[in-house]
Amino acid sequence: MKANQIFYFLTLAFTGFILVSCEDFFDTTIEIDPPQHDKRISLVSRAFAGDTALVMNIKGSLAVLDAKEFPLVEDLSLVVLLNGLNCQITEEPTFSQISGQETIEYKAHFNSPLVPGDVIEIKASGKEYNDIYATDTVPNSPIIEDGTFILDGGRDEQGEEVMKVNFYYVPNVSKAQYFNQSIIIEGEKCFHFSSNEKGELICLERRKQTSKSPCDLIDPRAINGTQGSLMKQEISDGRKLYTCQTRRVFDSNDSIVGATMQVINVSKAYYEYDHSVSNYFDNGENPFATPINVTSNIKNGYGVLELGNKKLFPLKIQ
Amino acid sequence: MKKIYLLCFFCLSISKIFSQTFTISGYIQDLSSGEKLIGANVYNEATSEGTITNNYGFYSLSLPGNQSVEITFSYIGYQNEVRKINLSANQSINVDLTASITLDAVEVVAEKNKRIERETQMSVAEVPMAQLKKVPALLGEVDVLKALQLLPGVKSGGEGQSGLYVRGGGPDQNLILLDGVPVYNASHLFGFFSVFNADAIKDVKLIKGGYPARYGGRLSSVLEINMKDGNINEFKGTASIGLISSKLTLEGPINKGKTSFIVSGRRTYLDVLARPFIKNGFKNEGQDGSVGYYFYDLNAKINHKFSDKDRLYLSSYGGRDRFFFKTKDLEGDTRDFADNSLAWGNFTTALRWNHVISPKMFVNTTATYSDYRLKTDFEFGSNRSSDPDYVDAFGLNYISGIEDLGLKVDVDYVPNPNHFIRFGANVINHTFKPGEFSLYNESSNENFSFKDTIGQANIGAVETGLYVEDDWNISKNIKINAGLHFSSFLLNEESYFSLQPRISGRFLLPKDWSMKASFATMRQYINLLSFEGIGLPTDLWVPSTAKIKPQDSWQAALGTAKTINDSYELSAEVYYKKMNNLVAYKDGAGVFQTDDWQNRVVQGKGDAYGMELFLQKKEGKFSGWVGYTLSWTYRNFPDIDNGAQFPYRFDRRHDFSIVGNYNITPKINLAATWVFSTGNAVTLAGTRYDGTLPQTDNEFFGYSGNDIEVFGNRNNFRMRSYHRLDIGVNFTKKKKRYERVWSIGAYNAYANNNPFFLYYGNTYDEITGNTKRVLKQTALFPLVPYITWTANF
Repeated sequence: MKANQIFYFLTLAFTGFILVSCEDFFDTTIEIDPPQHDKRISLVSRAFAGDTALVMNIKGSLAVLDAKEFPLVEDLSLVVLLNGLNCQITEEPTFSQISGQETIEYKAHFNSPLVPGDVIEIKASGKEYNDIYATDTVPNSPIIEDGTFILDGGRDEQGEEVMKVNFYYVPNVSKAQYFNQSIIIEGEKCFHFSSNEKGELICLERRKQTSKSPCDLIDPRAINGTQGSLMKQEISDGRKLYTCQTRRVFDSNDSIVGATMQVINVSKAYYEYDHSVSNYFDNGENPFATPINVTSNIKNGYGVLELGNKKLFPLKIQ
Repeated sequence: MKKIYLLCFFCLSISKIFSQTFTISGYIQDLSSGEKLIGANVYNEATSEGTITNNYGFYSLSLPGNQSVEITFSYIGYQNEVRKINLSANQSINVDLTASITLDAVEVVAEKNKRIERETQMSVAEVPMAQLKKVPALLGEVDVLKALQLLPGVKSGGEGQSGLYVRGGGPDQNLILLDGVPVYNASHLFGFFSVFNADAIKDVKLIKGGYPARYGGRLSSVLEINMKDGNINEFKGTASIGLISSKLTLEGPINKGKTSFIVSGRRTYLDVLARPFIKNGFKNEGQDGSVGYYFYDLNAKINHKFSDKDRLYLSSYGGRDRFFFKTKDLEGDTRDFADNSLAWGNFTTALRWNHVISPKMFVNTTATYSDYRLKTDFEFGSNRSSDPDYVDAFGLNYISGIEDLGLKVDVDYVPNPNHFIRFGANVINHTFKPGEFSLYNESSNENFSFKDTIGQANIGAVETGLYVEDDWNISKNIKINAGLHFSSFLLNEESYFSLQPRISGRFLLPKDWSMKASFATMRQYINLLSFEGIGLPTDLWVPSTAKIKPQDSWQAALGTAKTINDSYELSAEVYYKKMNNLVAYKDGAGVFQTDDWQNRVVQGKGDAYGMELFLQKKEGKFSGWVGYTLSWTYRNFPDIDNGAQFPYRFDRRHDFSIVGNYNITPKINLAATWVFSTGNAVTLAGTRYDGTLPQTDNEFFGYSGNDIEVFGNRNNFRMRSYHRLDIGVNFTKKKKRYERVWSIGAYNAYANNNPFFLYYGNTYDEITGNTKRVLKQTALFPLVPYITWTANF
């Protein structure tokens, strides 16, 4: 076979390849099967010291591509124990503001308000689901001394407009305390501080967004509760004086009608779940970030049972 | 100091013991071009003693004196040269070898000393450049790194990507040396092409394990790329025109026999070709604008031979990628404008001085400079034709990179045929630039002006290394390479030190079989923060710090090797690699975030183990190789998945490649490649649940989603398997003044839809009229034909 014959043959074959593949050439996206659905019960519930009932959202999970409403668990068997004693459980029809559908909330009633150290256990099972189990303990009241909370406007060392609040905080030296959802509200805007895993207070900035989730992160460093600006601290009479200082998030024209600081001492499960969920919603759409797994303390299930102890402090405004 | 004295004493002692010998030494080079041949073989048939040339073509062989010996000089692809030498004194013998031009017959080169079973170094991949250049390539762009991905133990990051993932390691764990200078970003066009212009490269060697002590600083591989020195005898050139780029290489003597140069440049021209169409498109929108992308690179080298004892080399590489987008309104009083660009590139320089101290001792001193820089500019705003003083603009610039200044001294000492001792030292001054944002905002309308610079300050660090190693023939059948590598990393806040023992050995078995084993520990002080899989220019090099510990590894390998019928090389290896202090992004962290990088990463462990089979035929009418890898690679981070072990993204159970190259006639060459590999591991959700918190009173604030997806463990899902056939034909013809080559071929010839990335998206169902959510897989290159014209003159 001569060289030119080989050349013509190969050119022909090459053209053939192109023609054969023309259909696929511009269609490079195909549908494939997703990972398998790991079917489990989800339980989401939160209570604070002083509450007399625990409201629970209990549903079945769905495959990620299943567009249906989350199903109620068929033949649900639910047991809630407070310090080892059975609680009465009621089912209450409710209207989901998110899905716009009727659903059922489960409520466990306590004989007396929750106090620090109370242990709640939940056991649930249903048809076609594994049994789930969750437990959490009501934490102590946050140890922050009142009477010194002053919301103060001013300027920092660089001359930037800031707002700050000073307060005394008595850290629990024996173990890390988890603080969460501790906010200052002044009319329409708020800012927020939290703690990291070591129990150190961290100042994060948030801005009001919706009525359901009134504050939204505006400081990109405020991820997972481990970043942000560590508050300045000074030792004074054996206590620690903290100054939470953030950029000014309101205009000078805004009239501040009043401010309250809410401090919640939360359980570890509460802290981890809340931070992972906030991380999930803040970064979930970023294709260049690693996917976020929301933590859970529900054995064999999804969701969280989280307990907290909150305290409100009115703030003076200067 | 004590150690240096001991070392000198050791060297002199060995020298003394063998003082009854004479040494022949010199350079082995290509006859026509004068290019020094690396790894050429010098062999005494009678006594089975021999040596090989070093990276500069220098050899030294000491033999018992007062005898006449027949020494064979050989190199793959070249005709052997046998010389009778009367050993009555030390002799300097430079040898010019002639390239083999016979293609019909199978050329058998008696490289007896360099046969695979005789070498102590295992886990090494050396493929002749001539063979690599014939491998069919994406868009006809011959790419050394992509050709290396066809070898066992080496994986690519994804479709078309040029990054290397060696034995379970990451792309930052490869020490890529271009003429001895580290190259930090080896990618053009977002990773689809490597920065190495094949026309300017003389030699490529990849070491995957059993690292000799002279290398350090990375955990997973050493890729040594040596540029051509330039033809010292006559002017030569190569020009080629391809679909996306053109190349021109010129080389020749400045002072014949003494000084030579080589210059090689490459540039893409898609931006130039598309400019009129893009301009017209913007014009139709009432704008003046341009958008485009290009890359270029330039290699240059000059070398001068002062004498047989002294040579000087100066080599440089510069390359840059740039993506730009500019628009400007053509009409109206207030005209909007935007000027955006993204540029990145490397610049490296090496000044090397070779000095032959004695026939047995060769010293190379190298001063190096390496700079990798990423620069992003965004600017937009408006101006007014009626008011030249009016300005309303916002600008954001970002700069990051790494700059190295280094000095190293490497000494080769060959006291006798049973020892090849290497020792040396190096120091690198790193300047890490972890990222700096410059912002400005100016508005004459609001009488407002703002200018600020934020980001992280440059970090300086000094990395040093000391090494000694010996390639030692213990007996006729046993040979080892043993050595020690000491390194340190000095920062303001912290200092790290490490002593890394290395040993590898071979035991000759009957019938040309050999057993090999190696053990090596490595330490790495610098980390690459990048989004796995895509060679984004946002890659950020950062040092080990007080908080982020250096990466460590040890690797053990066991293997066997054999040369079959003097033509085929067969090797099989099993390996286990343990890695500590690996760096990975936390859940939710990634690129395009501005906080301190140390808070975005976590450290953990990694394991990799597997088996590699390799059968290679390096030359002849038919050449090529078959490679197969069976491997497992896992990661374990205390802060990810609660410390559970998860597969590495590039954990691929099977990796198979066949590369064939057939010379149909002296003028026509047919090449084909087929690869198959298990799909990458990715993290995808399969389940979702209702995370709505029941509403309670006094809920000031709190995250509560009604739909939370469960990802399970990291990298829980396998992409589909990857397979691809590439074919290419080269038609060569001698013309009056030059030789022309037409290269025609196709990448992914049977248009397989190989997975590039997966995502959840919506699709419209024509039957029900509803939109439904689906998991989609996107491929990049279904079938990409190429055609390239090359002229060698």
